[in-house]
Amino acid sequence: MDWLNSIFSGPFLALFGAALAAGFAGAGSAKGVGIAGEAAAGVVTEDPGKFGQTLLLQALPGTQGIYGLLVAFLIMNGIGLFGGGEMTLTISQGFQYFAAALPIAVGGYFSGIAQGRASAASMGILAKRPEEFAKGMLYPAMVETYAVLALLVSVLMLINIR
Amino acid sequence: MAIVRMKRLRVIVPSKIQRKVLRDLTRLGCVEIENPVYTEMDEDMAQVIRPPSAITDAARARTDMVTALEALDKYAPSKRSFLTPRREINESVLFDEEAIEQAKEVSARIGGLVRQINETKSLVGRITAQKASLEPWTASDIPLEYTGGKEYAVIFGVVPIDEKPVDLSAILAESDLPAIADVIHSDNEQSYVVLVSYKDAQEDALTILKAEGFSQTLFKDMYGTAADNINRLDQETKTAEEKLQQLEAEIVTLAPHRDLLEQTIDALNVESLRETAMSSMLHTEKTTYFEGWTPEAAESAVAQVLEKNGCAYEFSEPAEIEEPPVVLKNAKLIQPFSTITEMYGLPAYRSLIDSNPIVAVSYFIFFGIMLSDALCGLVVSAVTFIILKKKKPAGMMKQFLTLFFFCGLSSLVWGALFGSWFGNAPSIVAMMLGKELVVPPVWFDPLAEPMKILVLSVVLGVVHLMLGMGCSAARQIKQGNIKEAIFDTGFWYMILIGGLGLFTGAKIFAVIALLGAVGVLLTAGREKKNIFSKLTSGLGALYGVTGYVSDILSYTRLMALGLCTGVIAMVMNTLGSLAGNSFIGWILFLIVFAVGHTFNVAVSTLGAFVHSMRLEFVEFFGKFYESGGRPFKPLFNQTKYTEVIKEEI
Repeated sequence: MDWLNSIFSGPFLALFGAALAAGFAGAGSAKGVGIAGEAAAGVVTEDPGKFGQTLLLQALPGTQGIYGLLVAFLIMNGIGLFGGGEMTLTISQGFQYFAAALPIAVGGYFSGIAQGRASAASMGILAKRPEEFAKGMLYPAMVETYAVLALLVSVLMLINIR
Repeated sequence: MAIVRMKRLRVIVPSKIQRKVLRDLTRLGCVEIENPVYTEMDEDMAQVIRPPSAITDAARARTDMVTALEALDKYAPSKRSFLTPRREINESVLFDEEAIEQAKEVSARIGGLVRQINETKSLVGRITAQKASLEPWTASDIPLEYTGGKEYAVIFGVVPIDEKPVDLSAILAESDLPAIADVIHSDNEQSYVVLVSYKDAQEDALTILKAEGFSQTLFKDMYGTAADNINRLDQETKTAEEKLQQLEAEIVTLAPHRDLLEQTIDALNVESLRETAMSSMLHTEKTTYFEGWTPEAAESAVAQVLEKNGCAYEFSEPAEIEEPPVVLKNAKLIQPFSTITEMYGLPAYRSLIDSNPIVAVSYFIFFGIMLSDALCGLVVSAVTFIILKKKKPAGMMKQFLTLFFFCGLSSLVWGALFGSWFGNAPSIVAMMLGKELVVPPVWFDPLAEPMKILVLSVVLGVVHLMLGMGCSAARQIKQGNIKEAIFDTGFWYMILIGGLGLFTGAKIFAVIALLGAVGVLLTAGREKKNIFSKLTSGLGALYGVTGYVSDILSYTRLMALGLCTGVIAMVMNTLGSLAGNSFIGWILFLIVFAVGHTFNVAVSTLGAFVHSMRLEFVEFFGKFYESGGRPFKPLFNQTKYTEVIKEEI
């Protein structure tokens, strides 16, 4: 049962958490940026001059991936992965790191997609009423609040793990 | 005062000089001309003519010229760099009639060439299609126009192929008719067939073939075999392509006229604005009447121009029912930040509160914390500074760049406070050189003490929110409703201060919060009649505390985005330093460093820009802002390519 022991080891659980945080939040952003990109391509076919602005809108759902990366990085840093030394972590600590990764993994995945859809819809504002572009940037930013809150919980948990 | 006070302007000019007066007012650049409100039924207005609004000559000429310039940009791209400033030009040169005429000639020539190019291109398209349709017939050496001799007839045609080709010769042979069908070529869809038959058998042969789906192909105006025709078409394509090159080269020779076209587009733009203004004027036989708005400060200058031209005019205060246009005027340092307000929507003309100073300061701080890297900030400021100095942009562009310049400085300060210089770049570089260096933060390191930055974000957020509520209270006080201000804002202040104070542990804060809550409970329903609905409204208002909690939590994005910049920078630095202190290692480091930090600056600046804006719009403006203003659009020398230099007349 060697493999079972290695699964229920502190470092593995913590790294598994880091993997989920970066992976799922990244996947959410990828989906979101993709959705926004599809709409952006449509706008640019009509008016190539709007390329720069569509790019801004498309970039907005990209932050969840960065939040996931941030949490993953904090976990890896926290368990001393970069130090090169032995990672000494109890199973309980491992689970704590794992739990801390969950908010941004789940929140990042779903908010990334939702934000991408809001961005895609805002492309319509850019196409038809370019002078109201700033308002179009705000709708996706509203969605991001919940990714920020998820990140907040993840970070607060991480820094308080003893 | 942030909202410029406007005066209603009414003018009657002799029609003879209306254009001149309009030109003079355009130079002044501070009069907006508006459609006068009048009723058709009014007897005095019976003899007034309102010109039909149509697309004006100037606007049409301008459109042509823009098309010509686009063609020029396509075939002879401008070699100017992005940073080239707009060309300075004297007023008299810009509006010189001769230059405009010359530009019209040039644009007509380019327009003609573009038309020829398009025609030639579509010709090439047609030839290509024709060639493709002849391609299958190349195996036959019968001239296409050949229909047969005295005795026999020749017909070209196609038969569709369903799954597998039909053996036409066999079918004809069965019928015993003196005819043969020769399949010259087959592709996926159809077979190409030549039917040769005696003349009297032709009808019957055709009937048989038609049952198989045969349809005749006619070659109009083609002589000789298919191969001959393809050769001819190839030749024609070559000629057309040569002609295309020639035409394009001719457009390129017109490239030196680019400056002329650009300046004329500007001149015609101003002219078409004037013509649009003219269409909203009322005319009689000898006079012209118009109404408009002018800022109070410009009143005397406008009066002087009108006086000099001998116009009858009057200035008056805007009437109650009128909604004057809005323009924001602030101190020089604050002005760039008013673009933030403008993006949300201009304030109503009669709104009493000027929030721009608060927006300016808070946006400056928020942007700085969200970007929170000294070198990122420095890059943003340096780039915007160079563009501002070199390109000398005007209008919105200038305001935006100045805004980013200031915000970059803010991040420089916050970055130094947090000890972030492209993250931990100094330490990493030192480490690669085998030394140790830590740039200590002036205040604290948010990554090491995240609680501290969280508290900082929340405190800033509460202050910002309270300022927003303060604006609402200030308005009520200005309207003379001091009691309302205390009920609606004062009690909430107590709840907020008390609630947050609880974290310090002092009991007194609980009392303050409780008193505030009781105050809200009792006063929120003051408009209601009976005591029961008063209390329910009070409870409803108290439930609004959840709104405040979510508003405050929204400010934690200050922390989230701030940490992000630092962490991305650290990731990039770590990646870059992987190969260590060697030649290859340094090359890798430089590449990762340059690409990585450019990415970081771009992503983080975008985030800081949008999210600072959100905090202003949703959390701050949500508390008090009255939008609904209409932007002031004066007639002025609105130019895109040139910078007009005023001349004394």
